[in-house]
Amino acid sequence: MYHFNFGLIWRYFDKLSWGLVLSLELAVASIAIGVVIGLALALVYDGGGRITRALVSMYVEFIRNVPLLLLVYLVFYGIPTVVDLQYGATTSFVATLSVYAGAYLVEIFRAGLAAIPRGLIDAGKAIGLTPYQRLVYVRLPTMFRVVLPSLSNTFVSLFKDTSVASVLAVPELTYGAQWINFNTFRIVEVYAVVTPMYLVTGYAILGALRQLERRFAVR
Amino acid sequence: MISSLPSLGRGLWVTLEVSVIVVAVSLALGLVFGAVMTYGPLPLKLLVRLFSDVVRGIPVLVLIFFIYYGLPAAGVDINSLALLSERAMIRTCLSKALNSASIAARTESSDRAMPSKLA
Repeated sequence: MYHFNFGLIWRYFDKLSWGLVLSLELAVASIAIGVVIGLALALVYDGGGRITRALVSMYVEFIRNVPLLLLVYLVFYGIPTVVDLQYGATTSFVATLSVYAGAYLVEIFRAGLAAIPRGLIDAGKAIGLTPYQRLVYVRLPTMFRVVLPSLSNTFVSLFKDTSVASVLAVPELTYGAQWINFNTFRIVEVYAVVTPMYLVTGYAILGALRQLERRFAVR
Repeated sequence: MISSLPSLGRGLWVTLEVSVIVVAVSLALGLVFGAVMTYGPLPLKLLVRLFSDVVRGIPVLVLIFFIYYGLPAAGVDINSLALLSERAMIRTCLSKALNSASIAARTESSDRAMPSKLA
């Protein structure tokens, strides 16, 4: 019979709480950079010719068809052996997750741009807005309201994907769990604590973002 | 590099094998759970819903570690294939599909609402 003992978990709980904070930080950094990549490439795709479109599609398809774990290994172990670059595990992971998020966000933003009613853009033309003004005052604000639900889903999903950083010994939540696992062997207890931490945080973020969506909902 | 190709090939084969097993198992389970979600009694529905939300709310990696290290430690003897998460994902996809199918069906006239017609 297995005897539960949570004492050791509480003793090392700071590994988990700081791990959770780092997980959130990684997710926030990645979505921030990912949004920039995604938005830039979606606009490039939208206004680009055949070749730029093909290049953007290649990037999106490549990233989406390679496992995240492989990308993480490739960037951390692969790139420094070919290029003369030095970076830490955390930097490497944030870069990877940003590029990964970017590929998904390109598609989301592209769909958002396509969902803008034609009449709005025509109205902008009719009152004499320049293409740049139409982009900044009409298309982007409308697009953000359309894509907000997809953005929050992506964010929660990225938050869960930060667990992959544990393979590079980035001290986030899953790494903390592994550390306690290997040092105390209270395996069931660790995961019985870590699982609710992921769950509650994930649902709390989602709940907060859903409130935000309601405020900016398109009618 | 060339000399390592055979072991990479074996790895690819394992990946494919695992994928096939996972898809088969999750398809079967997903169909059952999806049907429960749609037509089952309320307590069972809630149970399936809880399971689905929990599994989808935690990272795959955590689930894999939990099952690989946790279950044997808790005295549960399983082979260490961490199928559960993938299974749950596909199961949820299916239950979602069945769910929306059933909602669509209920709003239509009842004789056209049979899932067999939808499928």
